[in-house]
Amino acid sequence: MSGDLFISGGNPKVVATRDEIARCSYWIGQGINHLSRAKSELIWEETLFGFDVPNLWFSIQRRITLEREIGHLEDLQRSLYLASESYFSNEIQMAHRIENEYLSIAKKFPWDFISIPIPRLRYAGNPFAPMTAAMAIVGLTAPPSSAATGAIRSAASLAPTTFSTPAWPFGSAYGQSPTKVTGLLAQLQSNLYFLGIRSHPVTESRLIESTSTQGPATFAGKLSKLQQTYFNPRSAINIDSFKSNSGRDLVVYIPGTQSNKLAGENVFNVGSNISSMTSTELAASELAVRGALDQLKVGENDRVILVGHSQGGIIASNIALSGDYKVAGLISVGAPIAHQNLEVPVISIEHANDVVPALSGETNPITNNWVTVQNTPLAESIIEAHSMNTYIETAKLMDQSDDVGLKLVLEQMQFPQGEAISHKFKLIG
Amino acid sequence: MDSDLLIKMAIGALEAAMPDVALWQGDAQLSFELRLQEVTWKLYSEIHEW
Repeated sequence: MSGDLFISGGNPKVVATRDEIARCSYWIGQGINHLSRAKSELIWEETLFGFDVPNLWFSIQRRITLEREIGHLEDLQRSLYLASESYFSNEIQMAHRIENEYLSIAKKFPWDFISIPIPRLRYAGNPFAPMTAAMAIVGLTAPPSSAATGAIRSAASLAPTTFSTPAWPFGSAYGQSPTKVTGLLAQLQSNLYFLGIRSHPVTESRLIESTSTQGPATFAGKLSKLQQTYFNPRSAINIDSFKSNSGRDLVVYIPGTQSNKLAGENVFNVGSNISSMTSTELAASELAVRGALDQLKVGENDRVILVGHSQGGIIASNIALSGDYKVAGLISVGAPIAHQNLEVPVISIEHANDVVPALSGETNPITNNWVTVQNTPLAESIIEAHSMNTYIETAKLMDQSDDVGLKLVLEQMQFPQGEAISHKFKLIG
Repeated sequence: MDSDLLIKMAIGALEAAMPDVALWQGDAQLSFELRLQEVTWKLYSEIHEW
């Protein structure tokens, strides 16, 4: 297990895009060059009492001024450099570069003008198709690493542009951005519906147990609690209810995918993965989580904090975005939620060699309310890099971290602690 | 080239280095902008005629 966490976002003191920092630094460099030249050309230019001899007093004074200001500018340039180096490195830097430069070129190609109804022909004429496919294959078959994750993220970023409408033979999803993964999945979903493959998300949320518990104080404790939702029984969530001054603080723990079916009794299935990444229909799992919240009669005075792994994280982000509940925070673990425009406090925990958070094709924004914690654990397979056990080890490192951004976002969230009642709900599809 | 002209060119470069508000957030933008402005004003006052 690596001991190096890479944490970005959440700190209002250092927030700017890398390109903007590079631009400012470049122009400061130009300013320094001009001033240095001015300093060297000084000596002969001023006359003394009308005679053409150098005015040494003026020259010395100006030289001192210029020297001092050059020093100030060099300090400023150095602090910009330090800020950018500490802020952007490895994975995030790579992904931002791809997003900023490569995709801006890719999106300029007017593929949609050539609307050949046979997908294969269209892809054959599209140079991005083989590249996208190659990146996806390399990313999925290579041993888990940040490079493999980078390849997957790039493939996911390019896929919507490469395989967008009208390539899909049946139906299309209106109102979805064709250049986003969500748009591509919405098209996939509408085509599955057309072929009669449809999950009927009618769900039941059954309260099976209410026990008294203690709210976990550490990140490792929170993630261990999240891990427990996977077992005994399957397809279940946990909601811890704390008393607060105004009402209740509810912490909802939501697990990830457990069934490889498109629909079925276990609501955390692959069909829910597709639905949760699109806005055309509520995923069965999201519907069931909402059902559980409604059973607890969550109202305006109740704060909701969501903690989700993988699919659970996506559902949590959808619920936070809907505005239907007073969501006070979200902790996502290995979940692709970068595409969501979240305004609530968010702590995203990701592994550089876990491909799942990269599937949205985007990188998490660097803002005051959103902190991304990245670790590169030793893992032999993608499944191991994505597993809750590995994420709990990362959470232990987070508990030792004194990163300002992480602390500030956690403070914004006001994660409740102490006595609580733990409600276990079985979700049935 | 006389030093006044070179200082004017430096001021031009520093004005181009001013932060784009849309791309910065929080304290960083303001403190960077203020420090840059301080240098720019010093340079303005160095020039006799502007």
